[in-house]
Amino acid sequence: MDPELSLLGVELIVDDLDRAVELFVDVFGCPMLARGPSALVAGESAVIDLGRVVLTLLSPAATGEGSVLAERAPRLSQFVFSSEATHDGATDTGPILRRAIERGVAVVPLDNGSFYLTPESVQGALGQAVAMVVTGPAPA
Amino acid sequence: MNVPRVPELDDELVVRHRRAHLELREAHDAAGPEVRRLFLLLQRRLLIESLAYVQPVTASPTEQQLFPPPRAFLTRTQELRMFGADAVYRHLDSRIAMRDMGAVERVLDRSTPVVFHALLEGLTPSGRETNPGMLRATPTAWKPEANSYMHPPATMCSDLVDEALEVASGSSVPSCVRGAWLTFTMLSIHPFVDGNGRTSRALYLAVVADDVPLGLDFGVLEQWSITRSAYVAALQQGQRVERYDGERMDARPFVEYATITSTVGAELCAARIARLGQEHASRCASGSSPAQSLVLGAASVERVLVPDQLAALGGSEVVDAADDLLTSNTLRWVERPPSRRTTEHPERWGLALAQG
Repeated sequence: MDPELSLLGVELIVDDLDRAVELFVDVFGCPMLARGPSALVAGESAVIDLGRVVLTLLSPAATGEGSVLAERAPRLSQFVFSSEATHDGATDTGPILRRAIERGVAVVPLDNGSFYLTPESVQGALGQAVAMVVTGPAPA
Repeated sequence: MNVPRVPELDDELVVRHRRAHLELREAHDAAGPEVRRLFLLLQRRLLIESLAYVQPVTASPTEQQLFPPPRAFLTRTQELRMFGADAVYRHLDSRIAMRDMGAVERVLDRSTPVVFHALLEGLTPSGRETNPGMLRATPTAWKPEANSYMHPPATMCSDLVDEALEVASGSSVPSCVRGAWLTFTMLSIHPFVDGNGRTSRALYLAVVADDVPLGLDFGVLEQWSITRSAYVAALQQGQRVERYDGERMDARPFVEYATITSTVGAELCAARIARLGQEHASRCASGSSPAQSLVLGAASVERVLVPDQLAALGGSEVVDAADDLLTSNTLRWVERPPSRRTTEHPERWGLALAQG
């Protein structure tokens, strides 16, 4: 049986990180889990606790440490799904990966068994360029 | 000389490249007509997808797909890029045929870059006017944070392209070196408003077409798509100068990359012919006629066949074979997923293997 997917996180690219944090933390009252330099690209990010889902607010920079994001316009940039273990203990993302490939989606495998559907191929389904990342089970 | 120097390549790389392509040609010639038709069906589609760069189904160089499915979920832009790439494929195919019949001396011509560009950009895939078939008259640049290299001014483009074509048409070095050198040089000149990558990749095919035993290098562009990061890195490694400077730029990293990937592509193509041959032999041994096996092989490679594809496989013999397979429930009509319905092929129903 295939592992089941659940939504783990959402990433928004924002213009003004201070204002975005103010909206979620001061207006909505959501806890901020972390804020600092982005680990993956040049820029700053804040991680907001939305209950079962983590929201990452990313304010990418045009220069600085790390790779520079080419497209920095504000948008919904990615969904992060985790594959939950099924009752028979399967946690492998392989079945979903193989199904995505067989259905003709453009997939980029990552080192740790995770993979993502490219924003361009998701655009062909949703009309907007959003990456979809699939990882193993979320940490407890 | 204002274009980069043509690098010398390690003999071993050239020999291995030559051997891989000769072995592919031998495997191709030894295969039966049905296997060759299936190979062409698959490789034409993969070449067009790669030339258009609509992204491969999986960008994993270590786990390459023997029979990758067609890309689905294409955007309108990607569909139009595929139409353009298909037109370039047909142009190349015709030029190769004309050369074989002695009508032209070589596949590459002075007009080839602008012809390719017109075919690739003529349908305006990006939705922006990019002056198809014309060299740019304005400055161009990548986003400086992505690549600070600056292309030459528009006034230099015409002379540089002419010089590059002259060098690439020479015959003193292997065509795989000249082809990759031309791709590197054209990408460094960036002579068009848009579509430079697709045009430059197509030019590689045009240069090597006079030397590659099968005429077309069927496997190389697929490898360039799968290893896109390495492709970009090899280009940028040779462009570590502030602005265009033919004397200081180095085509070697890209030429090496291109030669290695062309070799890998040829080896993968040979493995595909071998597997297609095994499967064809197995179906025939189980009682399928050659035409029935061709239809079954095509349905396996393409997953779902639309009537146009079936007709392109052959004449009435193929259609009759498909009818027989439907009658015997070996083949069945299936609803095509919305993600595979395109402007060119909007059909709701197609033929698939009954045991798919």
